[in-house]
Amino acid sequence: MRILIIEDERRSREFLAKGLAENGFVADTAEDGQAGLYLIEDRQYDLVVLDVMLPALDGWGVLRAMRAKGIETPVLFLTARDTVPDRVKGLELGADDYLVKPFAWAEFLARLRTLLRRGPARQAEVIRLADLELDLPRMKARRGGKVIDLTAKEFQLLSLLARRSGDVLSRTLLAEQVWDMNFSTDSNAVDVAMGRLRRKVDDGFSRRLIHTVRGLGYVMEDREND
Amino acid sequence: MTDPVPPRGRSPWRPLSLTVRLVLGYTAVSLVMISVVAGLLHRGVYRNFEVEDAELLSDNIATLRRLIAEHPGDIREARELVMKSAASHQLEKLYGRLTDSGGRVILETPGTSSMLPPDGELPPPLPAGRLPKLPHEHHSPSGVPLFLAAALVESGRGGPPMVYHVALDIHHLDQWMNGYRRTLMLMCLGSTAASGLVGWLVTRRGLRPLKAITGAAQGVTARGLSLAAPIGAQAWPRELSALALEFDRMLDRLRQTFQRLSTFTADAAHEFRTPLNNLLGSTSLMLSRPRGIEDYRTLLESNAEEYQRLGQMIQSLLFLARADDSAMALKPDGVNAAEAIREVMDFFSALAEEKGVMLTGSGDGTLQADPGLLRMALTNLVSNAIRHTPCGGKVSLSFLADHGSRGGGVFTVEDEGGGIAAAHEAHIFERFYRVDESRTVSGSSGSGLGLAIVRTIMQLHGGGVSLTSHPPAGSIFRLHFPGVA
Repeated sequence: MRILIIEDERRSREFLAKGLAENGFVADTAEDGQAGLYLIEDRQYDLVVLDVMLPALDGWGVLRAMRAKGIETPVLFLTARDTVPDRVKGLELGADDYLVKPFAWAEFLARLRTLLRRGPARQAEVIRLADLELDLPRMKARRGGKVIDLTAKEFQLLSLLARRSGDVLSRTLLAEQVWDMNFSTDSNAVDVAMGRLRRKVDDGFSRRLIHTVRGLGYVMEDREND
Repeated sequence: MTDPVPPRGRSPWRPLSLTVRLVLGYTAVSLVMISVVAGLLHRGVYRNFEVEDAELLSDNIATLRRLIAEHPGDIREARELVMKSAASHQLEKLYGRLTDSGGRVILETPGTSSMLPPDGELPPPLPAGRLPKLPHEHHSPSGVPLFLAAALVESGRGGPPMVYHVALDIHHLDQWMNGYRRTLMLMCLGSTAASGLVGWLVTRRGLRPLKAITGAAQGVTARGLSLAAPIGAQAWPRELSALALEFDRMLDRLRQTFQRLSTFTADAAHEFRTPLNNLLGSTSLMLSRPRGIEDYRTLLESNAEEYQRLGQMIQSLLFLARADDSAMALKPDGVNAAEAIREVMDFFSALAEEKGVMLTGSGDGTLQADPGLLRMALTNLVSNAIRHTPCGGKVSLSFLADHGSRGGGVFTVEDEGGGIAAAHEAHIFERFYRVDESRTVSGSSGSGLGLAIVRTIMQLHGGGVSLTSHPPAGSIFRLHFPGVA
């Protein structure tokens, strides 16, 4: 997978490229819109990460130019301005997703993966991870053959983690997706809810599936030596 | 200072200045008035002359009739009258012509034939016994202005009456009237010009306060949003005093906003300084000597948490800034209160249980509110309530519809958190205001913006938030939604 990062801020550009390389992507970088546009026209990318404020040619301009040339590569916009008109403008021009600075690496990677996966939506009916089994249509969870007693919200939380196993999900994202709270709260309500879910899922099993990533959020994965 | 940009989309012409408008108005009015007066004067004088000259003609006709009636068949005295007519008046000469019924001339003042117009243009003669009241105005073939009269004269011997035509040469009157007209016209123009000039002077004087008020306003700059004395305190004409007062009020509002803004900026900077100090301090300490991988890991984890808190703070500040700017569009909708309460309780149920706090919800009804913002306000209040309520305490969330309005009502969040002292009550909704001055509590303490956000949300809805506190029992926060009247 080849990804182009167009970002004028050196630190951002470097950490994005480094992170992508560590996660098995090939990452090219460009410092301004004009240089980025040349690369887009020259090579085939699976995704473009595009900053809005750029010298020479801004993000809007790059997006407009590439769409005008019929290049339909997915674009993930990065911006420090998240006003509604800005979003609307981006979506009208054909941006595929929007990420407001500051963002955590896990958040970035999750959005990127979602964009790359986009296509024929293939929703699994049953998700399995180690000995955990989630029956989505019936909202039933089993571990080691035993039914786990979960509330509706807990099941939603668990299925979100399972569907994106391997991705670190932030508290903000969980609050947004499960409780529809799309704003930051001071409260640690999400942590407490996660704690209860974890007890129901992992207590009594030698292998833990839900892990806390301190400072970032939570991830569900079957780790080898845990 | 730069000139103000003229409003776009209008004609490129600047609107006329007030002075020009007023002066044009005065001048037009006085021109009309003076012209009307002059016209009436002119008419009156001319009519006066006409009546006088008609009398002259009447006298002449009457005298002729009398002379012929007294001496029938003898026209000597009549001849004398007619012959001397032209000489009798120095300025206005009379020309008479007496003809018999067949049109033959009996008597004629010398020069009459060149004065009287052709027969066809002569006025019809007045019957015996009648005299002209007003003369006919005419011109001789050579262009001399005339007053004409014609009358029948009985011969005194029976038979058909004779016809007497008499013309009065009025070229002197004409000349005089011309001069009079010229004088009137000059007076008209002169006095119009004079009234325009006076109008201009008066207007300039009258508008002087406007200049003064502009000058006073120019004394205000962003650097010093204040005047030596309020403009409204000075004596202004009635029309301007309202403007002056409003100007002062506006300045006052501006000054308050400015003050709030700079306080806010200072507070915000301070709030950012604390976590940054933590980050800088702990990071530089860690770098001061080689350490184990676990130490680095712990620091980075702790840093990441701090960064996220900073990010949240920025988001809250942006929310408040946008709400202040009124750039935020409210999307009100019919919201089911019971459902909103259930959602918020859902979110906090685990936390409350963990803390040993009983969380209850009650109430039903529909209200007009922005669903997302309502949830944000309730979440902030409930989060706050749970944070301050000790184990074994109770937090209740309820809604009471206001049946006097459509979609109005009150949400109540009641806690047993010990209450808020009266001294803090007034400030609790201010940004960054904290009841406990020490900021040692980390993690569970709020950003200091939660209640400010609640208040802002309620203001956006045209409602408000109120606090009733009975230390040490607990606090009751109420959200008032006005609904649609």
